[in-house]
Amino acid sequence: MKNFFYLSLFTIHYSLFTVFFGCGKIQKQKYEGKKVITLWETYSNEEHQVFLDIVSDFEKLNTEIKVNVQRVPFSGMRMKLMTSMITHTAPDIARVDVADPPRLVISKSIIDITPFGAIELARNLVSAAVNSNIFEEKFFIPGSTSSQKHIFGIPDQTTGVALFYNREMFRRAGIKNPPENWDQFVVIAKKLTVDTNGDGKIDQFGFAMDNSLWWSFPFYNTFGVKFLSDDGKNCLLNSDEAKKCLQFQVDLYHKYKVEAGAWQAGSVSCDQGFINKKYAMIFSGPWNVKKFKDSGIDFGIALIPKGKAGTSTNVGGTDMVVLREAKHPKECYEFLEYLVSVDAQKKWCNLLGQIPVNLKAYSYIDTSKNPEIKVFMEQMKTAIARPPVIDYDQLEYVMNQEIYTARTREKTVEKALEDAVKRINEEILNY
Amino acid sequence: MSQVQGQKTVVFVKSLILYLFMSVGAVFVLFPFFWMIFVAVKPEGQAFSLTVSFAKPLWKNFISIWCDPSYPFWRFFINSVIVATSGGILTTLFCAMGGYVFAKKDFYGKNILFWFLLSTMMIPGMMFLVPQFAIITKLDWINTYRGMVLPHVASVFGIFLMRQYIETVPTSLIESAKIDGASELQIFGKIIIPLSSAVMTTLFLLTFLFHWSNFLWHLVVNTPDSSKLTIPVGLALFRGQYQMDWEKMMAASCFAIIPIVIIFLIAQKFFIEGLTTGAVKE
Amino acid sequence: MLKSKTRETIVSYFFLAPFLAIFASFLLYPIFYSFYLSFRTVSPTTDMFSVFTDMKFVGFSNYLRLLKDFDFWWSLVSTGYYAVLYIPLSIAASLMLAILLNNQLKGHSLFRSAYFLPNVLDMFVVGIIWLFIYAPHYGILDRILTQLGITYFAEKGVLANGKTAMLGVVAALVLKNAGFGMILFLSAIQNISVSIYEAADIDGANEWQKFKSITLPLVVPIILFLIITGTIGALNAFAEIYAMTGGGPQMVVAGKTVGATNVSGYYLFRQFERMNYGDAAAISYFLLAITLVISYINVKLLHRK
Repeated sequence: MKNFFYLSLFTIHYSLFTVFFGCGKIQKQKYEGKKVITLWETYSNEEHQVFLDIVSDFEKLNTEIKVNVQRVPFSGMRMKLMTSMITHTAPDIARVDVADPPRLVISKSIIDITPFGAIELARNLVSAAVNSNIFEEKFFIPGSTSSQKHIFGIPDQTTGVALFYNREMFRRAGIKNPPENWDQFVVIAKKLTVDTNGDGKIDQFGFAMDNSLWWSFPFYNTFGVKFLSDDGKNCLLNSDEAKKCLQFQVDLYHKYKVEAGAWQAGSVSCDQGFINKKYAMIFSGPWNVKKFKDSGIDFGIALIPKGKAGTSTNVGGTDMVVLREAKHPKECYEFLEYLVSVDAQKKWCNLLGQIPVNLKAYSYIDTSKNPEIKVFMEQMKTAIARPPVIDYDQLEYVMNQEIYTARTREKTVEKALEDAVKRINEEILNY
Repeated sequence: MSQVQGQKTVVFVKSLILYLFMSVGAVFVLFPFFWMIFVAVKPEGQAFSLTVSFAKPLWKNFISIWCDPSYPFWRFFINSVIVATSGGILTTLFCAMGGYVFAKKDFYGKNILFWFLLSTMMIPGMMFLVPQFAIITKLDWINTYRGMVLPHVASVFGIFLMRQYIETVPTSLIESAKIDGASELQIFGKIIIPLSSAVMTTLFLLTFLFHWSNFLWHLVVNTPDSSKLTIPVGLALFRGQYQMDWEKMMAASCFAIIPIVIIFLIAQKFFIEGLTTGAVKE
Repeated sequence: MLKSKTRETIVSYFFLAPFLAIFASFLLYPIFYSFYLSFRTVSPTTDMFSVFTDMKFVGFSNYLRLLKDFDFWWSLVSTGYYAVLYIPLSIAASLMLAILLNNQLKGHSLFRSAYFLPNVLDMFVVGIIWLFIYAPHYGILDRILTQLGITYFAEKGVLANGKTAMLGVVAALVLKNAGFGMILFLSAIQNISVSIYEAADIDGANEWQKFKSITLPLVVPIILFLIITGTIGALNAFAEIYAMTGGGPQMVVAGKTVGATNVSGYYLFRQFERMNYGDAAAISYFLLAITLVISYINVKLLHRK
């Protein structure tokens, strides 16, 4: 027993020692004579495969460059990038959320790609997507007053939401077409909010909405709400448009009673409710088209209903940025240029059913294969980029808090917006 | 006679109710497991659809997890096993040693050291992430098992747990062993370890679990092309910006919990063994 | 006498050496370093490639800002609420399980495994299940209660109601973690020899009396342990909040909007995520100071007894 004990202790220690100190570091692959670019991306499995394909196309055209693609989980990218910069192990190119560039620009963490001709390139790109990468000199140079525009990244993917509606429910309610404006929307939504099994409880709702700011941009943008003053120093959310817009959101739930309450903490989310035929209309994006189709719902996609400012939507997606310590910035830019080229975009969007970022690629998109994408391409033309604040997450946070209390009617619409303006001015704009 | 029978019926009904109650409770707390399996056998994108449809073939997701060449699940799996096992063994051993002296020895600086250690436990671990990463980088331990394991081996929680338990071991046992001429190491190896094997197993299990699910640290100390990436990082790859690959993720999670279940079942034996040796006490 | 203590000291530090070596190399520096960071601040222009050297020294202003932040004070309140709910409930649940699953029951090891297993699950998976249960309109809980004529949860469910949200989160967590406490209690209870209970039976003691005079005194150290680890759990609470409510639902307290489940761990996480390392460090040390004061008072009170 005693011997066994010491023997096992010894074995454990020995094996731990070999595991820890025996095997050395992994061997870095060598690409003789090539300029190696390290790129961190956060694509899904499916996207990753197509991306690798595009990279190899690029490498065939540029034989002196090797792009070393590495995958990072989306949810860990910001943390990974932050820590890697501190220890100077950051990649050359990184795929970041559209909310990230302002902070990266102002802290001089990513390089200005204007000298490589990026402004020229940007003219062909979807403006709402590329605008998240364009900054005026006064934004990033302290004391400067110049409005000279500089570009710091290239959008690799752009998305926005549109109105998804359940065709079957529309047919049952005798509705032919999706709503074109918010007035029609309310009328239709009322018809779709019904008690299907007659137990006195409503079990099918005309509409379901999310609470977060990003998901509410379609409302704000169609109502013509302006978030910030031109100098970016003041929040303008106490305007009449903003009040009307928020009041409308509140009314959908409380007055018209067509909204399912999906914005409340812990309720059935819009996607889940739509798949399970509980919600007749939701906002959603291209990423859900396949999922919804596979689940066998008969659905259509329409433009966001028109408000005072016409139809519009939000902008999401990601940008590729070149980090400050990149060894071959020019080659990095060449790759980004290729990534948004018509050839690459054609491949990417047709295989994945996504919205192209290059306007020139629009005509090459095979809409017979992905008819849904047509609506999104149309919708993106009127999309409005989110307010360019340094700490977008905090803006989301403040808005989510204040808007929630308006939607629960704990605060009046006026009070909620007033408080939001005050907090945004204090915590975000003049921080 | 009838009274005895009546008593028996009462006992029977009592235990029946108890069984029923415990079974309902067990099904309830195990519900997440059933859901994981339910989702894992669904076709892609159908995780939240309540309509019952299954992937064809049923095991498609389970198989594709292991077969995807761009997703080295077996690597993640092996790495996780190595990291969690070595972390668990080292932590348990070191904490048992530390807990023993805190429980049974009187030495200079004991109280102040113990309270210092205990108070550091109040600082959320998140705060240590970046400085620890800086240390690991300085040591050039990026992409190594030791970089993933060693910083978390010094578990104050473990020392505290071990101390609480070893305190219940009668000092008389140690004294008599000393009189018999046992060395300090022998006392530790032959009295303390066997008597606290139940709690050591618990600590091992908890530490194993901690390492098994330590996403942030494993993400940070490995470069994305590292061959040492673990399951939590692998699972996170299924989580995209707007959508999530629930079916594959749950299929992978089903595999990920197997080692823990096995270890728990083995550990159960230890609990009982440790408890029977408890009969030695008093 | 003194000599033997010296000897004991040498032996003790020999045993502690591996632990302390690792503690010193990987925790001591971060502990002091984060304390140092609590007097510095990151601004948007701080160079991310050398964040720590580029952070500005600001004296106590991180702490002062905290003191002025209503959200922070509220997070302390909700953390206290969390602890007050979580600690007694989890102790009661695990003690009850341990008593029920004590050796007398056949198939006890099967049940033990069943109740312990949720511990190994990811909080996100558990959270999703509970969202299904708690949801308004379609949630299982609401459906059952509506059948019974209780419509309290019909509109908001459990988690969108400021009054019940925290309880909902805590209940989910208690059921997830009870198995761990159960194991700890079991190992203590099973040491009680059956003869003691039999003797009590002969004396005509009922179940409650047996529990109070035999079982309870033996498990006091474990209860103490669970109280302390429960407090630490409350201060670090994050995953369960993130998975289930995201700090919500929002409600109005004293004219300010606050999140009903916005506990200090979640508040800290948000600062950390926004790269406000200075604020995050200040929060940690502020919380540490509070807990030290509380435990000091506790120890003093206990000693007076």
